[in-house]
Amino acid sequence: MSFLNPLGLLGMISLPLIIGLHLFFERKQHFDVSSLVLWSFLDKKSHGSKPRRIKLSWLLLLDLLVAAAISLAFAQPQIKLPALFGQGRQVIILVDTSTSMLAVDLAPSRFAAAKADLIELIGGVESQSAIAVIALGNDVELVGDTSEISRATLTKRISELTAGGSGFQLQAGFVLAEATLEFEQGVEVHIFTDGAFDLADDWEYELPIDWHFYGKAWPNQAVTDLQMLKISEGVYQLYANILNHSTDESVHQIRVIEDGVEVHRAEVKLLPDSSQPYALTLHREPDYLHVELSGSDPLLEDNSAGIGYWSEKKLSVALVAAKPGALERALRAIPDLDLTVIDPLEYRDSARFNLTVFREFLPADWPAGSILVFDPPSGSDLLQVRGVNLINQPLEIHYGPITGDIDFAGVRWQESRAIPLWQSEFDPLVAAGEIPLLLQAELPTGNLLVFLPELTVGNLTMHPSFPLLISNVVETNREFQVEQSYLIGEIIKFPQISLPEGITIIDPAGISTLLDNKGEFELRQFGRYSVNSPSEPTDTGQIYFGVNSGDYEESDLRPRPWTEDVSDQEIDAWEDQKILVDLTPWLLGSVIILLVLEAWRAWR
Amino acid sequence: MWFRRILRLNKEPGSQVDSSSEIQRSYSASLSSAIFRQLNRLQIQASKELSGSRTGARSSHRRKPSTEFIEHRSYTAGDDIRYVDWRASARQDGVIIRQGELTKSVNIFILLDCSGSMHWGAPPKSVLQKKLASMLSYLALDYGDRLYLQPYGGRGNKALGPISGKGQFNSTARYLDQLNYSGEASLGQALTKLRTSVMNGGIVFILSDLLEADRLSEILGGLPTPAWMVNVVHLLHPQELAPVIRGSIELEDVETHKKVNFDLTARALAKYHQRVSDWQKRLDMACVEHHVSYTLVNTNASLEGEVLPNLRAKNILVNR
Repeated sequence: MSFLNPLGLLGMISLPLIIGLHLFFERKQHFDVSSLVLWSFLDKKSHGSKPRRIKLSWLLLLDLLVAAAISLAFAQPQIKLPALFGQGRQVIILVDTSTSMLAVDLAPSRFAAAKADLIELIGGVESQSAIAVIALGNDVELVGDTSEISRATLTKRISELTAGGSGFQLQAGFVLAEATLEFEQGVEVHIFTDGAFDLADDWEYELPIDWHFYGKAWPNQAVTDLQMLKISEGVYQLYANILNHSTDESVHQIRVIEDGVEVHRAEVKLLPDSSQPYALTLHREPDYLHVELSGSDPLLEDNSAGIGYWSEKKLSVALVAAKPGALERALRAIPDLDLTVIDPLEYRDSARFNLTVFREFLPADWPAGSILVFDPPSGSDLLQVRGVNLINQPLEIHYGPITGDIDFAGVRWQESRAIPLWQSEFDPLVAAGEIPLLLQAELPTGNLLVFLPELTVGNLTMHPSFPLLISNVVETNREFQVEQSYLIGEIIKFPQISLPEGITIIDPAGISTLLDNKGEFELRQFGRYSVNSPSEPTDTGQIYFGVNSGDYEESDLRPRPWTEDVSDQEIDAWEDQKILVDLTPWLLGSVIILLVLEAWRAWR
Repeated sequence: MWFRRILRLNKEPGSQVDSSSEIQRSYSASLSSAIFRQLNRLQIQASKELSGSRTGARSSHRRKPSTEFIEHRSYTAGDDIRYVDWRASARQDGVIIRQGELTKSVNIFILLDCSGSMHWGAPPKSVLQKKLASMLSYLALDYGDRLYLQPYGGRGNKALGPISGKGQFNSTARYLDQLNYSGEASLGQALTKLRTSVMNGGIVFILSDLLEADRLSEILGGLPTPAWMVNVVHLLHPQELAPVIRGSIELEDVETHKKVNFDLTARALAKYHQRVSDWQKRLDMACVEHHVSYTLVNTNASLEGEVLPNLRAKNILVNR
């Protein structure tokens, strides 16, 4: 037995005090009788001034028990007891869904064998126990928890699980597992994996883990790290790494295919346990390339890889200002940006820019694209600027993509141009009390941002927050970006503010999916994906990217040495396990029962 | 229990001496008119062998020449010739004198135990004792007997008597109301004093709880029959007969103020009952041995409903 708060045992001092009080009150039980002659027959040991013995009455016994129980409850005792037969336990199951589990050295595959064993394990768990299944790949996902769904549903979800992804987020998996625990007792952890990952040396977990390993140390080759670069005008280069996770040397054929047509073939000799670079120069811009490595290893998925290519367009920005100054410097510091500085007198609303920045000038009509306005002049029909406000109140910032990471501390705000009735049209992103500083409005042609503090007064243009603000405005106006290739299981995340409507993603099976407003898409299949966008990053409005499985760690199918250590660990059967029981609530319950008993005896 | 003690909920009826003057005043020796109606038809039983004075209403073995005939005797010189029964003399050889009964009065001693224990209980045992004494006094005075009220124990109590005549009854009632009950008392000393001061005997009523009279047989031997006719009225409170106290308690003797601690279990109380019962039997046997009447009276009993019928059943009181 252990105590969380041993000081609570000091309450045991009350026991002799209670005995003393009992003796004291017993002396006060006084009765006058007509004569003691009639009582003279009674036991003389209890007479008079002799030392009195403590008589163990029901009342004394109850009082002592109550005091002892309260003292023990304060000490918060805990005791290890055998897990009772039939008592519910919490079974946490972590299943490896990484790409290496797709190896077919076990029929039909490591993952299929693991799923079958997992379902069998669930079938053997008693009905009163809780089961939570967590999938671990390049991400952590709660497959299901029987406290929320039925076992049949959980089994169905397990059956539908697919493998594919790089990594094994074991620590994150345990964090999620602990979050699903209702209590810390009777927990049983099962991990289904091939052990083809490195375990941190300092990794440890208190709960007993039952490891279930699948697969053996099979050799495997893979194509990884595809990259396509534009070397010069009309010259492109393809890079790749060819991995050989084997203790033997081997020779393979490598093929490069474009739109089903082989454009290159070569023989590569792979040294034992090597990563060999491969490069190919192309003389025309490809849309999508597929690289294949011959072989018959257990994981064919990583023997090929694909990559898309397109020329990126720079963001076009116009700065319309008579004195561009600090604004121009801030804009030029931003990469991948095509800046055009225009004198207000020469401004024509004919050229199309992604972003137009106005300073001390407003055109007759808003141009297409997004607009950022500094120091708006009065007298324009577009913005009703009247007078100047003094900024003397603390800032209120509406945190979002533009203002989220900016710290305005140290900025000396002094004056701000006033726009009457701004509330009806604009949302204030930054305000000083009732005075707006940065306003945002949605226009039919794009986003409008109006910065009202005077740039020439105060120190804003010298403050680090100024280039950050400009950069944020620019970045939120970029088109969405797609990588040339991804690893299976990854999730594409597009910035919501720059996400144009109508983007569809077509997977290798030809199924088209309209991108939802979250801007997220999970890549569950190997092969070529295509994206159709209304804002044409390419001339055809369609770009390609590849989803591959080749990864240095993931393609190594050999179980790591640590698996032998953990395989030796013996886990007690559930019935033999001991659980730590907190006795505090039981003691407090006993106190209540004892007090009720005492009251009952007293009033009776 | 501890909160009973805090709330003072454990007062047992009759467990404490009721010593307040207010309550003392409420317990008086006065008798109800119903009792008097019964008493007017009763008298205290007295043996003819008891000696007494020449006045009174009780019959005796003594004779006197009288017109009321009881028996005859022969004429002796000096007899008044008015009492000669001439018809009987004519039938006999000599002169026959007509004789009647010579009446008498007897001495009635009421010994009142005034020890502290008699003032114990609720109501105190002394209440019934005074009523009994008052009732016996009335019977004695109404029947022309000579009454002695002899308290023993208590502080400052003096004897009353001899008194006779019904007119003295009020003084006996006042006397009884002023009795003091305290300390210890010795029945043996009281009876010894009575025997030495009274030569011609009489009827003795002992109204006591007899708690100090463990040698009752020896004590009663000092008042032999037929000169003495002793009636022991044993007054015990219900709490003495069957106490309801229980648990670990401290008992204090109201006379000696000696304290003892007992653990009164059900077994101990059963033993107590047995002991009280044995004690009563011993007292009864001692009385039988000395031809003394023994009557156990519960002091909470009704005087007219229980005590009087009981005394009549014992022939202590008889019809006139």
